[in-house]
Amino acid sequence: MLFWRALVGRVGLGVGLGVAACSHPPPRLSVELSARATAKAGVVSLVVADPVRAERLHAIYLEVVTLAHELDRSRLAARAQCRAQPERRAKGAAANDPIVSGALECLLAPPSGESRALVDRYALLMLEARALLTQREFEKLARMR
Amino acid sequence: MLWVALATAIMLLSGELTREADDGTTLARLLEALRKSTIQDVTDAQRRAAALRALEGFELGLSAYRRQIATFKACIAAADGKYNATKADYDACQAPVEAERANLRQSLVAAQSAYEASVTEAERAHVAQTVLAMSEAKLLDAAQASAAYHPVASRARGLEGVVSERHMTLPRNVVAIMYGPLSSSTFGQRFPSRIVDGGTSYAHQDQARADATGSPPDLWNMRGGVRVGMFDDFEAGALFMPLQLGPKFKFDPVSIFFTQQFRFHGVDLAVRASFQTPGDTGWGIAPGTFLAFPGKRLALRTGVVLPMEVGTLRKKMSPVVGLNVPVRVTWNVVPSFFLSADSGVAYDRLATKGGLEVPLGFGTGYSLLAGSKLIDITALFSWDHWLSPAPQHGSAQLDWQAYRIAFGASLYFQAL
Repeated sequence: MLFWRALVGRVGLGVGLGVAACSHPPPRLSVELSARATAKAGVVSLVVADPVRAERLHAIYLEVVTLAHELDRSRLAARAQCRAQPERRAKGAAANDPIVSGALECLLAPPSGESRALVDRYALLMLEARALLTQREFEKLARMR
Repeated sequence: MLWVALATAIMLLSGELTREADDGTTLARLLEALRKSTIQDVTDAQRRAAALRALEGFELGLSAYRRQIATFKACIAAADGKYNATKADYDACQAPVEAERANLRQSLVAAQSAYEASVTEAERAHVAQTVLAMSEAKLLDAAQASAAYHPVASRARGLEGVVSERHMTLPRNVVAIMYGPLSSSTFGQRFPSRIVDGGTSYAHQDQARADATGSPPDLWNMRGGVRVGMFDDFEAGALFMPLQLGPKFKFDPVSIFFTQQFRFHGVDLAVRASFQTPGDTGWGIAPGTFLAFPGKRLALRTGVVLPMEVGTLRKKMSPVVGLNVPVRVTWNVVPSFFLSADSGVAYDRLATKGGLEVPLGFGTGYSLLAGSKLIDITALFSWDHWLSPAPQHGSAQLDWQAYRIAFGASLYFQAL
């Protein structure tokens, strides 16, 4: 009896953990960029023997983390800016209405604004990282995440 | 898979996953609430049908929004994984988003007008009231969300490669399969009757010491376990495969440890609670506080541990209390290869006079990247009772006969 209870308990826990693992919502772009960069930052010294190159690469990956925060900030700022535009400024009771106030529209289709520049900056950092890496080193680091 | 599930469950329970997720799920819940409330609050069938058609426009908009984000992320990830990628590859990800978003904006404006035309002001107020009562509605207040945004400085989640740069605890979601000496979690784990370290170990001592301590002159052990970074600075782990291989095969007590770390500029302070399941000497408890100074090439670790063996409720005994002040210096000759020296002060039984000892040990290790995993191959040679500065009888003495050799490998990987 005890064995079956323990077995059912473990299977239940396993299923619960499995469901949790499969059902989580997708992360934001900033989280993904940050995760890819931090996965490489910690091990770059083990891959790149030259300390000067390794240090610059480490700095690049850390800059991506800062840039990811900036991306989040700019996304929120773009939405706030979208809401503040005069044509979307609803008056009276309509100001609280999620649809008529334009709140939903600004959430679903905010202007790209600053985030475009930030993605450009990210691309340049990644290209600089490539210039510092041999193909073999790049592939080794790419396997981290 | 088990570790991924465990890491996900911890992040789910701590709310971390929700904080890191995109807004798609929240927006879907808001739209669902809008739909339900519209069905309930718009009484006229014809106007209700028109309002629901308008809401469909938003639902299609949400699908487009999610698709755009997924495509964009996949495009950036593909460019990131290509060695020959150029600026054009990244630009190619951005260009379609601009055009698609402009189209989406137009269709949303049309849906908005259609909804406004089909629902009366009173009905709209009712619907809005229902939706704004939801916790998800805070997403709608863009100005507040923007003003309240303060990025949380969290610890980097990747593997820590160079040994001298590592902190006392593993980063969040990093798992270590431990089967080697010199790991953080076994640092200072010296109980009155045994020294706990990972890997395969052989300990030798002369017959006189063996008679005094009650442990055999030649002892073979094998200890393996796991460590998990559960939160940014909190780690839990266990050496759950503790075997004594010789002179007689038996299971040793399981060691369990929890470590909370506080990171300061260049210094880590850690508090560890560890205990051992009952063995010959009952429960073992070893609370400890540690200081670590990680560095590019050189690292120093020290701490104060109060190990004690306290018997069990069935097998009562007077607690045996010791004091251990371990010191470890690690020097990374190159990023992947390190040498270490261990010493400090150990008093295995505070109640016994003249029991103060100074251990001396030397270790070495090689860190190897294998795919996305990191393997540390480590070895240690230690005289655990090297110097007795003030023995009960006679003057200070060195003991070269009692030594321990340990070796093994530990595997580190990111669970999520």
